[in-house]
Amino acid sequence: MSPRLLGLMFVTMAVLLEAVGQLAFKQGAESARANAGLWGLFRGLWRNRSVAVGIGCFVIEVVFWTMALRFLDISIAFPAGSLCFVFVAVLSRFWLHEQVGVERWIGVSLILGGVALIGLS
Amino acid sequence: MAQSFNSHTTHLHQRRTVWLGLALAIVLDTIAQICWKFAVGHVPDTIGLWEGFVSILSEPLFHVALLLFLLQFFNWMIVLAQADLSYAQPITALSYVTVSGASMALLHEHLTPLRLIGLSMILLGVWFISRTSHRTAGVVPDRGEEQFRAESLR
Repeated sequence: MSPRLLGLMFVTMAVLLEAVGQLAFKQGAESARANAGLWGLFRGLWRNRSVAVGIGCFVIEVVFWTMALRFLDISIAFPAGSLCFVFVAVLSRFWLHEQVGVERWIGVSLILGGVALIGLS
Repeated sequence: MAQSFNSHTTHLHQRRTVWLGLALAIVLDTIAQICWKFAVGHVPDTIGLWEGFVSILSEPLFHVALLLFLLQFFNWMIVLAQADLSYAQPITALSYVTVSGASMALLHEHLTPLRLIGLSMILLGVWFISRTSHRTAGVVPDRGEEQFRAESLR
């Protein structure tokens, strides 16, 4: 397998883990906020399965990103990594049923383009 | 009437908390990323994957970055308890702008025209998202919303 393909595979995994991790964190925060107050919120995070899944995702993600950056140039890794904004928006819409209207999509698209340009520069 | 006024002020108050949390998230993320960059920079490229990984673990700046990530975690939970994920997450893209700024100041990296356009697009994108309501109404039961606010103010 070429280093480039291997790197892209690592980036894809990292991006997917980032999106799933964020989703898990959101679900954890939502269930924890049922407890009153700031302290109640933090207590609700303890032994929270969603939060544990989220942390697990991020730890593995960091390893994948580090690997990806060893095989790939920033100019490819950066734009590819920005795809996580799209995954998060899609998952928020269809999994969490958040209202992702035209303005948020325009925003996400602009950010995506912006990150891609930074990677190329 | 009084009810709607009350929920309006609650909304505004919450929005302020969310923005404060997002600002803190961007600051923490920027400092953590810069520390990370320096820590990784200290590791020679010539050594293997595993040795590189192990030698990062002993970098002091790496420990600072880890501490900042921990703080970030709790801050992020406060943000996510109140804001949509599709609102909060893309706004943190502002850290691309702040990291670029910090890299220019600390590492004397140059700002190319292409990079300037990219950063402007991110700013514009974040502006679009910040115009939307921070929380989808009625999707998640608003159990304890008032109470959460009252308690966290105490």
